[in-house]
Amino acid sequence: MSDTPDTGAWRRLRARPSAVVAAAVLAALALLALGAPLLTALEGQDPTTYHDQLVDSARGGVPYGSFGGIGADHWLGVEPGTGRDLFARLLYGARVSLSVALGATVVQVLLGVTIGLAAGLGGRLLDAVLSRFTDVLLALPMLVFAVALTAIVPAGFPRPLLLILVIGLLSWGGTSRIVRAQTLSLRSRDHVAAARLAGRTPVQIARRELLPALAAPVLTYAALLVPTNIVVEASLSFLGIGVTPPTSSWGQLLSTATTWFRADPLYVLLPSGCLLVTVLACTVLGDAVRTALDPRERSRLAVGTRRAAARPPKGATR
Amino acid sequence: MTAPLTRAPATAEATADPLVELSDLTVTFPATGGAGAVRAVDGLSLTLRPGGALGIVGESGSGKSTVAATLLDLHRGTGARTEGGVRVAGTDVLAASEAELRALRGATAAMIFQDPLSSLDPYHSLGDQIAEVHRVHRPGVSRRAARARAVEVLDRVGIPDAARRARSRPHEFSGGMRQRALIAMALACEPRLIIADEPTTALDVTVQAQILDLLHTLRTETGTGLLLVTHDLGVVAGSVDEVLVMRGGRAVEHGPVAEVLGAPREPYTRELLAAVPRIGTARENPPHAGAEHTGEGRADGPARPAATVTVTDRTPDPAPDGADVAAPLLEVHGLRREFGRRGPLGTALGADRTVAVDGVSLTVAAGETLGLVGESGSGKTTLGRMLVRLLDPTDGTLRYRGRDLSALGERALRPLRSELQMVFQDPVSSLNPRRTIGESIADPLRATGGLDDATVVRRARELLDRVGLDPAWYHRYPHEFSGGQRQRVGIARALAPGPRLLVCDEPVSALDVTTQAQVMELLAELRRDLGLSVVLIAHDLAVVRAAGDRVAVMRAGRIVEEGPVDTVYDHPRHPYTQGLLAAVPVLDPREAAERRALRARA
Amino acid sequence: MTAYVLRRTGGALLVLLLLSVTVYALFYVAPGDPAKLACGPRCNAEQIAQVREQLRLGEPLPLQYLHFLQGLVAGRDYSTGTGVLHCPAPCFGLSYQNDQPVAQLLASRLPVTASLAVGAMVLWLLLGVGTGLLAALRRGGATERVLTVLTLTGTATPVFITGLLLLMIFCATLQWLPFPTYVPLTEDPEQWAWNLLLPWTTLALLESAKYARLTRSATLETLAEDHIRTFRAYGLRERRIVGRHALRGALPPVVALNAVDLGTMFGGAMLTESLFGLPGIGRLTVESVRTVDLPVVVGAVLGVGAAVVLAGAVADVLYALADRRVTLP
Repeated sequence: MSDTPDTGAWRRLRARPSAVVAAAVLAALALLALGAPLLTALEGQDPTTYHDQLVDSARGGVPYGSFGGIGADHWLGVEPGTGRDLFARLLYGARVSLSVALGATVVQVLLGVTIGLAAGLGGRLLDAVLSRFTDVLLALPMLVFAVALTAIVPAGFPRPLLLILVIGLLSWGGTSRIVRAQTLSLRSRDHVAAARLAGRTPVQIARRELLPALAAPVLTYAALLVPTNIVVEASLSFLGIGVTPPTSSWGQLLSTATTWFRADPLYVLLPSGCLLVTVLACTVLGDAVRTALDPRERSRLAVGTRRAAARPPKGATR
Repeated sequence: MTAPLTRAPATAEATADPLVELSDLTVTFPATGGAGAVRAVDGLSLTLRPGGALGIVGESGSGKSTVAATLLDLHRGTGARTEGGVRVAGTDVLAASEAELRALRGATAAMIFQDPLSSLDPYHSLGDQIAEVHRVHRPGVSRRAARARAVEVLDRVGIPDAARRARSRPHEFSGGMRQRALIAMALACEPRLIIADEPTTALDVTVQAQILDLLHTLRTETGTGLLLVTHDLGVVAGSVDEVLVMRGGRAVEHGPVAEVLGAPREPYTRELLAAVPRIGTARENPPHAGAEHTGEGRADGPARPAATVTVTDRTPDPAPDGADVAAPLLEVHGLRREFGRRGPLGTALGADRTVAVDGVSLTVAAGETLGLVGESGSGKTTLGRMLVRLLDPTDGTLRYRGRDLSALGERALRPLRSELQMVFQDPVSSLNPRRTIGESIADPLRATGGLDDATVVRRARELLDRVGLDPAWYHRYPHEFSGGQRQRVGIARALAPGPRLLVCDEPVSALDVTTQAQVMELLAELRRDLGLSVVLIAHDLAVVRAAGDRVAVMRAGRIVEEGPVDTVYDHPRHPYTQGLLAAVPVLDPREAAERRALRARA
Repeated sequence: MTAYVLRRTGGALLVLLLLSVTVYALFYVAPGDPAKLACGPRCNAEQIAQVREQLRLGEPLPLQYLHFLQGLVAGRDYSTGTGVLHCPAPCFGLSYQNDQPVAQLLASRLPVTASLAVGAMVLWLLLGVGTGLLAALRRGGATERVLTVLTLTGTATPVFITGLLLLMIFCATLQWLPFPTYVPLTEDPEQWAWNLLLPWTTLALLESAKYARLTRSATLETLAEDHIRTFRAYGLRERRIVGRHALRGALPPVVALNAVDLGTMFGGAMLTESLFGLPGIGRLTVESVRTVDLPVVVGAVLGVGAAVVLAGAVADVLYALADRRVTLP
């Protein structure tokens, strides 16, 4: 019985079949992305070579053969117009999508926790300045701003890194707001007062009394940030402002797919499917993490958070 | 008044039948999470005659509120299993159809809940809510007539200017007025039975007296039956004819109120009664009277023998430089604290300030216990937190052993922190849920940095033992303990750095009455043995009478009266103190009736 | 209440000012040479210098910003080689592409964006709140599980995927609907609606999922509150309790969220507009970014920022009005 209060969460998480399936899907995806060079070598293809002989230039570049040219050489067919191998492009696209999303999440969490803690623990003035700043950031439609920012960055800047920075720097607001609110609520608890009476310094109090309690909500929020970031990356690439050819990403594939959906439906369905499965698995897992991490805590916190409920994590990209 | 509030005489048949009849009632809640199924009520039988009043008392977890909810079968559809016979005004509640049950709820038997704020819909006006309930049970009544009825019952429960106030929403009322409104809703359909579940627990003592008086008046005037559920023996004394004492889902003792409270037969009832702090009588053993301390520390865990180790081995160190040795331990002058927004550049423009503590002066002598009593919002907690400098005073001085603390910054204060400690009210939030109780106690020792790990752990174990907990529990987490045990941990942590002054902020208000008595006993014992000065903050006047040397009565941020405990309690001079004392419920039903009559005349 | 509204409005204005400083600094100061951008790729050094003179880029930065602010409030004149171009307030500058005032450009795209926003909102409210309520009422049952999966899929699916799939099904395969082109409402209301039906549905599918989740959780939260127990104990029917008391409690967050969303929508739905080829503000932004037409980009960002900040203020005030329990900060 003398285990920590947190160990139950792991058990609750594993008890949900949907969470287990989602985790398995994500693990498989990560393996596929990591093993992309190996797998494409096995197929005997690469993501950048053009195969003009495989597309029907008379019909505007539709691949020969049924289902987008699926065959032994090209497992998932070829890209219309260019004839590049679709399997290879999807796998390499996964690398971009996943690494950008994870990288951006790390930036968001680091910034959000630092700024949220500073606002929650600092003086009135610091809190006012940082909170106002966070408000501005949260108010901005992220996608518009991200799109606009890419206009002023030199063309030579590595695109995946640019995407990580743009997404990360523009949307740490949610994390910082959660951390600040939690810090304020924790700070008013009596065990923090007791630590002060024990002679602990503010830094010691932050490290010992606050940070451990912040881990759960931050982890929960971060888990839901990943799918949002995947969609944002895909959206930027879809608008033609993300990664630049010949690098592929799912969003960029879908962007070219808009002109082909009548002639080659599979070219739409494959990247859509990949994106959808990934985002759905992330969301399901994130949701499960949230429920697993002390559902009682959540319902207790919910009492005063009806206003907060009006501002869910920003994810709507239209 | 358009309609008489007294009911038409009951039919002969109804008079013959009991109003409430429970036979062998058993309620089982299904297993949730890690816990197994819980049998909340276990074979309970009782009857209540029409117009009678029955009080069900018990500590938390005794199943008393479950019984109340069962009378209206509020557990239906929740998964709880209810077995046995439940008849209310001739209706077999458990077998009743949904329609029959709806007709029973509110019309025949009406319920009053504990928290009057959350029990009313915040979005609709009081009048609308009462009218809505009225029209549900009287389908023929027009909207306008229902509104009139709402105003009528609101007026009946003593809400001034009822016609206008009926249009207000719940948050615009004070706690007492909200509870009156809830009672008005209960009256709306002239029920034969009112079920009141802890109706005054959320209220201050003076408001509690008013609400209980109101319930009493309504009952005598309308002949409604009353089932009063409460943890407070003082509340039942003046309000009911019969009492049923519950424990662990079973009835322990049942009988006329005067008998049960005056000459209890069962040991548990006697224990309950003994645990209730008395306000009327002086302490039998004042703390300085000597060493007749028996040492039988009744902990709510396994009983531990009182420890013999000396926890604080502090040598009497010399007073700080230039300090007056004869000065009181703590001396406070003109202490003031404001909260809220300041206007720009210190102006009053747009400022929204409230004064929580307004110029308080007091002293605490070495080894003395000062009681600080007051109702909610009187500023007593704010004052207590300023005394240990958890809060900065807006104005005023705070001298500890002659040294002015109010001017010291956090860093300069840190070496002095160990001498001024606090025991907090809420046993849940005062312990870090992620740290073992042993580490919580060890924390102040580690913070000083001068002790090696083995010594720290040994000291923490000694402290656990000292407060009546098993030292082997060092590695357990707070959620494994009961409220009383956690409060003991909090006390041990406060003792760890070897304080001279202990500010206890409502140390027992979250606890059951028997646990309350044990924790108070522990505090008294520690104070005697360690020579501590204690500031005891409490809303419960009886708690302070039992433990304090002197008492200060606070109201709206000021101290209205101060003096030796017996003098203030027996001969209060300030009208506020007099009113406060008159409102305290007493255990003797006859005295309760006399006090009620006195209040009615006042 | 009045004080709160004033304070909130003041706060919103302050945020807008901060936003304009940030945006101005980011876009006009940080990157390369605006004069070169404004002039175009084929300009020689002399022409660029001339443009720099016209745009007053030689002035110190704070002064440039003040002129920019002045233009926003009072309008501004630009001298060209041949004459003077007037840019009426609110002036975000002139487009590098065609010398049109940015505000005018934005205004010309507004009807498209507004049509898209309002129609989609009606759909997502109907769909979202309805689904959420149904899920709350059928809690614990199979219906709720199915609805949960549906809404989860809805929030997880990017609009361009939904839109592409809808296009494939309804336009390409079934041919029930036209490939959307924008027909002004004033010209032909029927064609207007018919053409926008697919974009509306696409947006509504995404947004309604969010509303369904919010409505469901808010309703359940209210149903768990003590006052609901009171009405159960007083014999009210479940239907009445949900309809009159629980829904009322669930309304404030939905209203507040909707205000914010509508504000954001007026900034243009970039993805939807790009996918369906609708000439709204969102598409204008994307095009301007491609051509590095900075005044238009800045104008769009500030315009969207203003819409969102104001919507946020309106949402907070609506929330405070709808839920009197909240203590006004």
